[in-house]
Amino acid sequence: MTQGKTSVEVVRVDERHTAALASFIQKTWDPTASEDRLRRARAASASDNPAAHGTAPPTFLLMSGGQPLGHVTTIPIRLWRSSGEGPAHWVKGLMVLPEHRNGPVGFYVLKEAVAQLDTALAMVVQPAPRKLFQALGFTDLGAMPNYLRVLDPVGFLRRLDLSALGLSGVPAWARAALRFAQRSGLALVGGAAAAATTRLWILLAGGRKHGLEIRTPEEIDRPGCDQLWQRVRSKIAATPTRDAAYLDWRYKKSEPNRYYFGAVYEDGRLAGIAVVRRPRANGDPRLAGLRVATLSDLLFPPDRPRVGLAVLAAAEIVALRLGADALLFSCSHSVFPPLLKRRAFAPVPGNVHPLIRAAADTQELPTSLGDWWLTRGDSSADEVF
Amino acid sequence: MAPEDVVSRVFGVDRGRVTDATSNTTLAEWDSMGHVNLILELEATYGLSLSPDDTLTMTNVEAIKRVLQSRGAAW
Repeated sequence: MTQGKTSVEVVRVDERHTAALASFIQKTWDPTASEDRLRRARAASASDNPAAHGTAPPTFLLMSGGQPLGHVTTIPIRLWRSSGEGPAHWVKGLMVLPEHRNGPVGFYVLKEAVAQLDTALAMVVQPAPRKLFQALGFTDLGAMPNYLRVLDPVGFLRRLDLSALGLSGVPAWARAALRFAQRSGLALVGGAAAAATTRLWILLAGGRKHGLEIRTPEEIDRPGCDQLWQRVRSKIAATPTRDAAYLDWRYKKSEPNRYYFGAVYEDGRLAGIAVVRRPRANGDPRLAGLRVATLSDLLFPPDRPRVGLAVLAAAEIVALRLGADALLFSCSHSVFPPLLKRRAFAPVPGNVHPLIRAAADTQELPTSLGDWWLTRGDSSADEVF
Repeated sequence: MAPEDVVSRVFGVDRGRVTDATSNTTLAEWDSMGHVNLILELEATYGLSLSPDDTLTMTNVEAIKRVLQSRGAAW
């Protein structure tokens, strides 16, 4: 495709485009969005930008005849890889007005964004946008595995609605059996039995916590987090930087009262941290009233499985205190599957795909999902179930 | 080669299914990446360059034919 004389253009949003951006957001996400609020939000993002301090996160609009038809924005981060830390961006919010979907708008706006970005990453669920990203040089690392830990088996079984969840592959007899159990009260008995079995399993396999202390602090231990990050990062091939500044910005400053912390201390020193997102009961109709919390982020030394198990236990405690029926966790690193099994997390099909694209002048990025330390909290991918 | 043949080939659908009314809302295979592939294939087939303005409007076979004819393409 050749771009000749045209009224179509992709612009990188600056002060001149605030009205167009507000109009697009009103049409797509938030009817109450205003220019004033956008200006304030962009100014705050600029001051917090860890990739380029003082610069608003790059945002792009495809304009046709002065009207915005497509949008993509970014979340600036610092990215750790074996050569050190450097700037990178999560590509986020690729959106096209409904009447222009299945056309070229998404491709044009994404192409221009990628051309202007350094190393870029994305978390994508739907196949169509994944194809767009791949066409523009992104590597799809594959579906990030999901795991679910049922915290309250009785409540979980009573409220579970397989049809609403849209889980395919569940046989008709299993659906019928579940409905029968829910109506007859057997779910109560089954749930109690499952709870007892889970407790026994965790007692046997869930790891001993001698010398480790679990805490549920209101705020993060900033010096402890920075020291933990410094100790851990060299043991991970690639990951967004998870130091105190990042954790505080991502989970406290930008979305107060939504995230809660679990921490593990060893000899008085922070050894691991978990971030749990408050369960949502009403946000997604597929949950049919189930209260599912999300383990949005965690960090511990990957060569310390005992600490990892304690961090998972801390996350479960936080989720239980928040009234969750279950805890959802999505993670990429190869250290997780055996630990999650020991804490009675059950695998469920993955749906979020991380995609990566290294800037031309930087070191290649690992292309094996298990080498990356990615979680649901990255790129705010924990917004979706 | 007629535009219907290009659409049929790009989206891997039977030629008989492609009419003037075939569009990105009637054909499940016609998604955003499919649209980009279709434009590239049309450019290669008819030896012309399409502007972004053109490609925004080429969302059904009738519109594709109109734009191609306005650019002097014949089939």
